[in-house]
This record gives sequence, C-alpha cells and structure tokens, in this order.
Amino acid sequence: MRLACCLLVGVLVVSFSLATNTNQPTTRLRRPVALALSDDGSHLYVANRDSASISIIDTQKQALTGEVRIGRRLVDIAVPDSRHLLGVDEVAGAVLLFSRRDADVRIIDALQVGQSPVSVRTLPDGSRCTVALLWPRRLAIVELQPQLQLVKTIDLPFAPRMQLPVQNGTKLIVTDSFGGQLAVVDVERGAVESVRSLPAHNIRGLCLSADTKQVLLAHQHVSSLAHTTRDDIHWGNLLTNTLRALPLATLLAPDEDALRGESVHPLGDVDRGAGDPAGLALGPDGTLLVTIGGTGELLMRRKSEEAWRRIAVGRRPTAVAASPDGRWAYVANTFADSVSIVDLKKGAVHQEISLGPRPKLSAAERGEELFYDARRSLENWFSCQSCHTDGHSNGRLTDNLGDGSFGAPKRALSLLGVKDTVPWAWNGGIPDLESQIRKSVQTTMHGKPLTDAQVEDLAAYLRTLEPPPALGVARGEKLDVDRGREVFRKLQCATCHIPPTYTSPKTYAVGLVDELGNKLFNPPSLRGISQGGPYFHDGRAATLEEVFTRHKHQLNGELSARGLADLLAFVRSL
Amino acid sequence: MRLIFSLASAAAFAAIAGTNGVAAAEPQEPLTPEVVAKRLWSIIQVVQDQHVQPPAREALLRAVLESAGRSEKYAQRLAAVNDENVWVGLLQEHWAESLQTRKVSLSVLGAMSVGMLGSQRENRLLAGALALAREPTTPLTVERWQSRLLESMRKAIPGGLQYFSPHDFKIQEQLKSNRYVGTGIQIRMNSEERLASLVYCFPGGPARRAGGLTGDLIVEVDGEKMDGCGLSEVVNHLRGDEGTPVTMVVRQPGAKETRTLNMIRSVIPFASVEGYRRKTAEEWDYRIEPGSPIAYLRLPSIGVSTAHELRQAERRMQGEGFRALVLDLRLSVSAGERDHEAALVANAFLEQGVLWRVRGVHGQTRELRADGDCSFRGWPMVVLCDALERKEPRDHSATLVAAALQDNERAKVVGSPIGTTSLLMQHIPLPDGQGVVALATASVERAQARAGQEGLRVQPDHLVFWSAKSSATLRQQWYEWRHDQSIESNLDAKPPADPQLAKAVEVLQKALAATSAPPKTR
Repeated sequence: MRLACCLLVGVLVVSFSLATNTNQPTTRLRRPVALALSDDGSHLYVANRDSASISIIDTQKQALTGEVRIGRRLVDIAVPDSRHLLGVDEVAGAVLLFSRRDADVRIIDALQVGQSPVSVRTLPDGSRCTVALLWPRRLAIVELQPQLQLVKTIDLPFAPRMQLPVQNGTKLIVTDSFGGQLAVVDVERGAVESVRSLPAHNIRGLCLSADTKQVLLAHQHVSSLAHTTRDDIHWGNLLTNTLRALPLATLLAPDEDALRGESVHPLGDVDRGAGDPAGLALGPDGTLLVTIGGTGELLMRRKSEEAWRRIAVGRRPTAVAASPDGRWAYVANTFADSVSIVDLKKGAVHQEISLGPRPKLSAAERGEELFYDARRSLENWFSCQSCHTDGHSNGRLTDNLGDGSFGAPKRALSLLGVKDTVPWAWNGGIPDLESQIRKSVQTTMHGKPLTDAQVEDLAAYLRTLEPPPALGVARGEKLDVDRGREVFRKLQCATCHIPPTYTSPKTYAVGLVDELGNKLFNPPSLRGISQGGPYFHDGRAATLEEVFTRHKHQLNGELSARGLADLLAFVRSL
Repeated sequence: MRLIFSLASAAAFAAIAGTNGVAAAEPQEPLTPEVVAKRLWSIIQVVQDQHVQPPAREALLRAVLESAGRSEKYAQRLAAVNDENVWVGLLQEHWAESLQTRKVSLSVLGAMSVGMLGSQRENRLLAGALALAREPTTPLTVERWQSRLLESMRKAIPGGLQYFSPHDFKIQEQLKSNRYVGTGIQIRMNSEERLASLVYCFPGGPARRAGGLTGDLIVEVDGEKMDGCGLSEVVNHLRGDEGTPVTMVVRQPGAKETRTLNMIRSVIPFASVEGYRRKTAEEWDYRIEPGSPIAYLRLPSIGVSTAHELRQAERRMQGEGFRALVLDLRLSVSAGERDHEAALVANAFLEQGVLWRVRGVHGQTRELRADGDCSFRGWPMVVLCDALERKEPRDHSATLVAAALQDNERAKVVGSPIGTTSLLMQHIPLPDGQGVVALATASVERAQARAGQEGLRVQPDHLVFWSAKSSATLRQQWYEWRHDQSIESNLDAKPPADPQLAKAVEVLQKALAATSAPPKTR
C-alpha cells in the first residue's frame, strides 16, 4: 500500500516524504491554516502549512488522534465526500487526494495543476473540484474520479484566493487575493462572466448567508482620503474591517451594480479595532463567525443579536468551522499551532487543543508573527498585512507620512523581493529596511515603538520574501522576449531599472509630479511587475500598457505597436 | 434670546468647560514684548512662505504697527526692518508707547480671548460671556497688546489668520479629535445670580452620572467659591487630566440647599449626527412623518467622527423601510479647519467621482476622489442649506459637502445659497514651539464649474427662502426647536413649520415615485 502511494505521487517525488501516521506529534512548526469537518462532524481535519501535514481531531473526544505528513506546503483542505479528503500543496503546485476513514488518512492520488494553488473547493456533486492558482491568475477544474484529472483552466484578471460555488456548482464566485476584485465564473462554459471591483481589499472570508440569498465577504477597506493620524485611525476613517453582504441575484446578473442592495456590518469599533478578518463561517442556526487574524479573536453574532461577541482565541486565527449541530466552533490558530474549540452556546472557549510541540522560532518566524499582528497598531485596527497583503500589495493608495507629509496618497508597495531594492519609500528616502519598519509602525500604524529585537525579526522575515514569478512564467507560457529585450536596451530603460533587480538606488525625475510637487521617485523593481498594478506612485496607470500608451513613461518618440508588444512581453517575463 | 440662540450650536464650547488642563502641568513662559515681537516675526515669515496669496511683507509689518493708529510714525523706518532684531527693537518702542496711552476697553478684552481659545465661534461665546460678567476695566497687558497686533495683522491677510499658543492648540486638537476630556457639561453665565450655570449635561458624561441638572448653578469647584468668577475662571477650575477627580457644589436657581457632584474627568464624545427628533435621551427617531420612507439626518457640526456616526445611523435605520434621505446642513457649524473632515463626510455619501480640487501654493492641484465605500447607497438625497449670518466665514465644511454632493448629482440642494470664499485654511506650526497659526494655504475648486457659482458658492437646485412675512419668527422657532431636540429637554414639542424641509420631502417623494414606477418589460 505504501509502495502504491509512492508510485501514485511519483510526479512529486522530490517534495514528498513518506506518509506517516503517529499518535505522538513530533516537535515542529505547523502553522495550521485551513479546516475541514467530516460530513458527520465526527472528525476535524487541520491543514498545517509549514509542516505540510494534516492533524486529525476526534470531535467527540475533543482530542488529537493523529497526524499525516505529506508534501511541502499544505495550504487548503476540503471534504468532497464521505470517504475522501482533498488538499493543495502551494510549493509542489499539486492537488492531493486522500482516502479517509476517521483518523486513518492516506494519500491515494496527486496531480500537478500549476504554480501556487492556494485554495480548493469541491463542487456540490462531489465529482469535481476547483483550484485557485495565485500567481498564474487562473482557476483549474479537476475531476476526482476515476483519478485526478485536469479538465479545464480558466484565466482570471486578478490573483485569486477565496472561492464559493453557487447555483448548484454551475457558477463559482472567486475573489482577489490582494485587492477588491470579484469574478463570477461559469463553470460549465469555463468562462468568466463578470468582474466587479468592490471597495475592499484583503478579502479572506467568503460564504453564503443562511437564506442563501446573499454573499458574505469579510474584508478590509482603506480610504485614500483619510490620513494616517491617530484621529482618522481611531474613528475608522482610515481603515475599516467589514463584513459585507451582497445580494446573490445582482451579483449573478453581469450588468447589475453588485453593490446595490448591499448591507455592511463593521467588525470592531472605535477604541477597539478588529484588524485583519481572516476566516468566515456560518453556523446551521445562522450564527455568524468571523476570525480576526490580527487580534486573536473570534467574533460571533447570533441571528437574533445585533452586537458581535468577541471571544479571545489563539494567535492569528485564520480559519473557522462550525459543527453540524451548531454547538461548537473550531478555530485554527496559525501562530499558536493549536485549534480552539469554542462553545457557541456559552460564547466561550471550551478547550484549546495543541497540535504538537513547537520548536524555538527563528528570527524570520518571529518576524512573520509580528507582520500579521494588529496589536502593533493603534487600537488594533490593522497590521502590516493589511496593506502589504501576504507581503505583496493591496494595490490601494494611502495618505501616510512615507513621503514626509499628507496630501499626496501613495500606492502600497509590494514587499516581495524587498531585500534587494534599497532604498525604500517612493522618494527613496529610507536607506535601510530597519528604519523603514520603525517609521511605518510609528507614523502609519501609530503603535508602540518596536524593540530593536522586534525590528530585526521583522526585517529578517521581510528578507525571506521572494519576488513573485512573472505572470507568463507562472502560466507556463512560451515567452519570446528577445525582441523585447532589445527594445528595453534601445530605450535605455536600464538607466534606472538596472538588471538583475531592475531598479537602482537613486531617485529620478521622470515627468511625474505628486500633489505636493514632489518630482523625484525611486524606480520600483520590475521583477514580478506583471503581478502588481495599478502602476506609478498614485496608481494612475491601470495596466502595464497604460504606462506607455497613456503616460508615455520615458518614451522620447513614438513606440510602434509592435515595439510596445515586444517591450511588454519582455517586462512581463521579469 | 440671542444668547440662547448662539448656544444652540455650542456643543464644542461645553467641551472647553473642563477640557484637559495642559496649562496646569506646563509652566508657560512669561509673555514679554520681546517674545511677542519674535512670534509676530515668525508668523510673518510663515505667511510669506505658505500663504496661497501672501501679502507683501512690508504690508504685514505696517498692518501690525497700524494697530495703534500710529503707522506714519514708523512708516519711514519700515524699509529698514530687514532682520528680526530691528523688528524687536521697533516693537519694544511700540509697546512702551502703547502703555502710556488709553486704557483698554471691555471690547478689546473680548478680542483678547480670540488668541486663547479654539474657533471664533467659541471665542464669541466667551467674549459675550465675559461681557455679561461685567468685569472691571483693566490696564493694558502684554497679552492684550499681542491680541491687538494680531487682530490688526489678521485683517491684512486674505482669509485671515488665527494664532494658537502651544497650549491652546492642544485644546483645539482635542476639540477636533472629538476626544475631549472633561466633565461633559455645557455652561453659561447666569447674570442674575452671578454664577455659571449648567445648560446641559451630556449623556454618559461624569456630570450627568453624578446627578447634574440643567439650570444648576456652580457654587464651588474643588472647595473654591465661584461667586463673581467669569466663565473662563470657572472653566479653568474644571479643567484637568483624564482620570482625575473634580468636585462641584451646585444648587438650583432660587434654592438654598446645595448638592455635591463628585466626578472623574473622562473622554466625552460629542454627537455630530442627529435624527429628526429624540426618542429617548440616547436614541433618535429618523422619520419626519409617520409611515414615510424618508429619513432625516442633521449634522450639527462636521468633524472627524461624523463619517463613523453616519455609518452607525445607517445601521440603526436598517429594517425600518427607509429609502431616501434628507441631510440637513443648515445649522452645521464646525470649529477650526475642517476641510479634511468635510472630504470624509462627502465621501461617505458618494459611490464615485471627484469631490473637489485643491490648488496649493505652487499651483499644484490635488483632485480628491471618492473611495467607493459609502453609506445610503442608491438612496435619493436632498441636502438642506440655509445662509446664516451667524456662520463663520472660515467654516467651509458644510459648503464643501453640499458642493460635492451637488456636483456629483448625488443630491439635490434645497434652501438658500451658501458659501463665499474658496480659500482653505491649514494649521502651520511656528518654529521653536512658538505655537501654531491657521492660514489659507490653498484654494478649492468645485468638481463641476457652474454658471453663476463663483468660488465655493452653492446655488440650491430648489431655492426656498423662509417666507418674507414670518421669516424671522419661523426660522427662530424652528432653530429653537432643533436646539431643544439636541438637548432633549423638549421631547414632545411639535415641530414648527419648515418650508425648506417641506420642499425637500416633496422632491424626494417625486424621486421615489419615479424609481418605484413599474420597470419596463424587456
């Protein structure tokens, strides 16, 4: 049997260790990020990202009964039927199929579906699943029987994360990993039906309301009109944490204004923010459950109640599931390596189950915990993650003191690859990463000053972040970039965007002026630029094309259509 | 009557009665003619550098010296004022001479306080109160001399100028943050009893919790008798840091027995969004007429918390069947520079579009755009505006909101024209902790240029003036009713006629009828 497993997953042979099953969890960092309950509610399966393992909890005994280790980075998990489990491995780029009988979980199949799968959902008939591929900006539809098989891929105009099958699985709602876009996909036709832009970013919760007439989204919103002052933070003018309900019928009608008929429920309040909603679930009785990743809380609101109840759980709770009888909620505490079992009747934590002993953390691992900690900001309204979502950018403008004064909002910069892009800030005014971290925490987040050790930890974490793969590369397209490289050379783009980082430490006047008259900007790195956008300091170019067609960025003469296409192909390959 | 009227919008004034007493903790440098001269020099520099239409330096110097009506004496010497030392020498002479001339009148005493406290509205209140207190005429002090010089300079600067000492600026900022620390009372002088009296105790505030009642006379504060004290002295006694205790002995007018109120100073947020009438001390009824789907909101002031309060109001309206909104900006008076807050409020109603454009000192323009997250999405809206002679010339906030909603066709404007200058004020810190000045650093352009609307002037889509015959009485009655509503003393009173509101309702009913007409079949 074990041999069979190895053969089945042969494509992933480099990345897989043997599946092992033990009742004595070993010391390792787990970072649980996703939960799936068996259909009868008797077992809870926990996807541990860093240990690439599935922890199994017997919900009757409320005890850990096993752990299966497989793959490299397990980021989501789903239950397609009464005998199987599905998982996705972000690093291996694979969908994994497991057989399960209570605590006995074994891998039976694996399929590579493309780079960076981040979520998996089963369609209602249980025969297929959909996988969101982050950097390829793509959806993969996979048949489960007789074996895993890729049936279709659908390209999206944004990097996807959350998915919600609706209308019996004929339609799929997919949301943006970083910004506020939402797409409705026709699964049968394999086509994107509509794309909406919501006043939102960092969408981390997505489910249907109890009456199935509304789509609920847990997300954040940042206003470019507000300033990063204590007042604007305190009164919720700068950033709001929100549960938004959109009517499903309007969402499914491509020409309707999706926001018409919406209702908005703020999470947290003045004096006590709820930074970074991270997980969303609905109890069978309509009880709403939202985990707040940045504050370590579960917010719960019963159907008959108006106010949210706030329950302290473990650090960075990212996923929540409700038991079929509505009695319990299970919360995955990513930075505590534990699952909290919450008694929904009492509105209190019943038990916290450790998934295993944790090793001593490295500086980067401690830094990651700080990065996602909203308690570093005034009144817990937001964390680094809120704007630099997963180290990338929410693409939104914020009016902070990064440029020294208010009045000229700037786009949040991606931190992926930040270690190579000295100096920092749009005006290149910050010579070292540590100073930038201190400044952001003090003047943007208005948190308590960090200790030197904390700054070093955060910097160590940021230095682990690599630039994203270029869109074309992520999609596995055959790229012809030689002509484009020649255009890049002829236009002397490398004066400022010097390979291999495609940036340089100086600031340049490139015909851009902000609202305060600042003309000198530090060129952002072009690595992974196809995964960014909008472009320029104020997001004035919606696409890379517009950078040249509308804004004529450093073009001295006309660029032919062919030349532009070649240049774009090259830039998009970086 | 006029005093009551002006108190109608005095929520902010109440905050001063017990605002965090930074002064007590920080010893202030004694004010000497030299300090004043240096401060004025710094202000003139800042005006030169940062004002959007700066007057010539010499004109400002002359204006300062003109305050005593003796500019000709100094006129020839002005050209020689090329550094700070010369200027200090000149002003020291001016001071010596001023000392020898006439004593300062009561009206100047009032003007003095302009430099002391927040907005002009608050200052007017305080000035009036001081006049009521009939304080004796006093000789010229450096403080008063400074106020005269500042006032004289202010007149020479487009959009004016306001000076705040570091201490006063902190109070101003507390007012603006809507995070005032105090006892939560609104006070005025009872001239018959010569004691300060409580006009209103704010719900949830320490005074109300301690049993303070409207009309209570403040006899003692922390053991000190308040007989014959001016309002500012009473205020000084009430000031203190958050969490500190203060005891007030009060009695009702005419009564003998006193009561002791033991309080702990705390943060008192003031509501900047109100409904049509009070249901209870804490709750608003948003409905103008029973059964009507039209909601009513009034913004007594526009501040940093207003957008938040609007979101709360929207939530409270959920499930009540509201489909349209009247936004009443007629009694909206905001202290200080609130164009930022006005942008947040306009944004709270707009799905998209340009709010307005701001042109700065160097001609650069900033376009303020709605961020897309708004309240009352899709509801037909009317904004009510009415020109009030009482309104501060520098308070643009209501005008900016009305202009943005009109320009984006988000709301119809009903009432009489409002708004004048398009200069925007900003707080600029002076060097070396000399304080802060507010001056015009930018001008604002409306999102849509409209014929006949210069600057920031908002011309209503539906002009409705209060009828000529009963204008004054009607308006006064209505304002008083609104004021009573804001302080909850008159829960059951019937609202007087309001022709502007009636028109707003009519406009919205038509809009609702148009949207609820059966859709065309496809």
